[in-house]
Amino acid sequence: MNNQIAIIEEHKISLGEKFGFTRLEYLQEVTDQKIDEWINQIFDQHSTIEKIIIPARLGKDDTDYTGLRVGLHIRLTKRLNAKRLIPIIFVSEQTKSEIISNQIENNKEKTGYLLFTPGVKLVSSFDIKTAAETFNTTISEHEMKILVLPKLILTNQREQGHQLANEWGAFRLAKFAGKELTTLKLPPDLYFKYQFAKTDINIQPQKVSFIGLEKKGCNALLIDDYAEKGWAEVLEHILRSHINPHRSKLEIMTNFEDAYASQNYEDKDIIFLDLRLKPEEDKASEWAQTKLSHPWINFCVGSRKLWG
Amino acid sequence: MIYLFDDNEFGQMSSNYGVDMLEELSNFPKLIKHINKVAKNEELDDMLKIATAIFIHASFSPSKLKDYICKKAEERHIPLVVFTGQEPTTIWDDKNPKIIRKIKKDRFYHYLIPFLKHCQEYPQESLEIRKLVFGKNYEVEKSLIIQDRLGLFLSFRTDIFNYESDFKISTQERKDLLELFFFLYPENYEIEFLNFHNRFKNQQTDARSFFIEIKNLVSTIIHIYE
Repeated sequence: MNNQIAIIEEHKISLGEKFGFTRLEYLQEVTDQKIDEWINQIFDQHSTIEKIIIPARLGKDDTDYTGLRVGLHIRLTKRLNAKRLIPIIFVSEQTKSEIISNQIENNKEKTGYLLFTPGVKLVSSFDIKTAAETFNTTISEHEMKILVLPKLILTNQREQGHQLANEWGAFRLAKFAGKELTTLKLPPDLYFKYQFAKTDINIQPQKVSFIGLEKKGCNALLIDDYAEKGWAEVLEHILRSHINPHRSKLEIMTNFEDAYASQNYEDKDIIFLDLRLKPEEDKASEWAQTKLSHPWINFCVGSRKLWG
Repeated sequence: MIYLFDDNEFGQMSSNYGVDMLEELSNFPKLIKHINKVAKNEELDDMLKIATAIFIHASFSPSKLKDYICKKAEERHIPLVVFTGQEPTTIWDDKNPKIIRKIKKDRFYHYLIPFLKHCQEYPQESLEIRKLVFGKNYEVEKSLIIQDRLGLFLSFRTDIFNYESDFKISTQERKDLLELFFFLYPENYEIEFLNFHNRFKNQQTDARSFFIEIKNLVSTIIHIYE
């Protein structure tokens, strides 16, 4: 039994049994959340896996090449560490070009670009055994960064892009600040994992510029409906670790009503104001101009948090 | 009448899909009606009485109303498609082939107009939401899925392949094979399939050779429909 090679299978087909591979029963998990949980569970339970075989299509009437999606999750899930770099053999009777053409023509997500990266092989069903025996291309971290990630094209699939931008922004700022977030769980979206994997290439914790509040400490206010989802934690960390650990503080308001009712702005050294504060989206700028004469307001919106 | 429930709150139907979807839909006044808001319950009940299908946005509000519409569609066996921006892949109902629990919104709108054109062209056909999911090249797309599925199945049977027992009546493999013949010979697929069946019933063949036969069938389907 070669338990270092695993194959994802459905129903009565059992090539795993036939060839002595570890059989991983596919559970019709099609959302990113479910696939994420499932692959984490697989690699926790089968720590010996060194190679994986995945049908390009998984699930009932699969028009979406869900197997490719599963493969991308393996490549982009950081928690899997070195396991995410193992050889992946996809099974389909179509060629790489046919799969990509199909995805482009039919407005599907372009998961097929994974097939054009190193460490991945596409084979016909009848060639599984040979490929499993001969294909051993594990990629390195360096190859992942320079040969795999730049070739992938993944787009945001969430309808509420604003929410994803906020989560992404909090993680990105935390990365700059050298802080591991505890109040925000890494979203399992493939797009997020992809962005997160790419970000590691460029971002290292940054040194801060001093702003003259080191002795006094920084008294800051964050007005943001997503405050509790990472932002407060990372901003507080920056204020305490880089300005004054004992005298810096961060007050939080999560809705426009509270912010509007409060008059206590004069003693703040800095105010972080979400420009798309619900329910009065896009009115925050106008409100800030009329209600506040504060000299130091940092305007934030999701996309600025994301790319800024 | 197909009822399309989408609140279109930010005008996405006109700006997000390359064409003005509202304008496109107006070309099919007898086939589909767009509903952005339900004013009265009576109005809704009237719609459900004559609906041939319900297409509804997962975030159609209020959510209780959306749930009610979906429930009623299910109870009355009306084809139901729930489209959403949240899920990347298509989720079919486990038991009812007339229901798609979730389909990506972009994809739904991408296929909607070709689907309506097909319905208009073939009014005698019953409305099949599978054709909405697979797009205008339904036959090609489904054939490729069957080819992948049978490829895996036959590679598993390499040393022990037996046409008669592996493609028994009521197995999924037999249904898949029959569907290929339906695409190839819509008028007399049963006769054509019987000829094929008799040929392999009496002939010793191996799994790989049999799969080559299947690939030839799929190639012919692609040639016919593309």
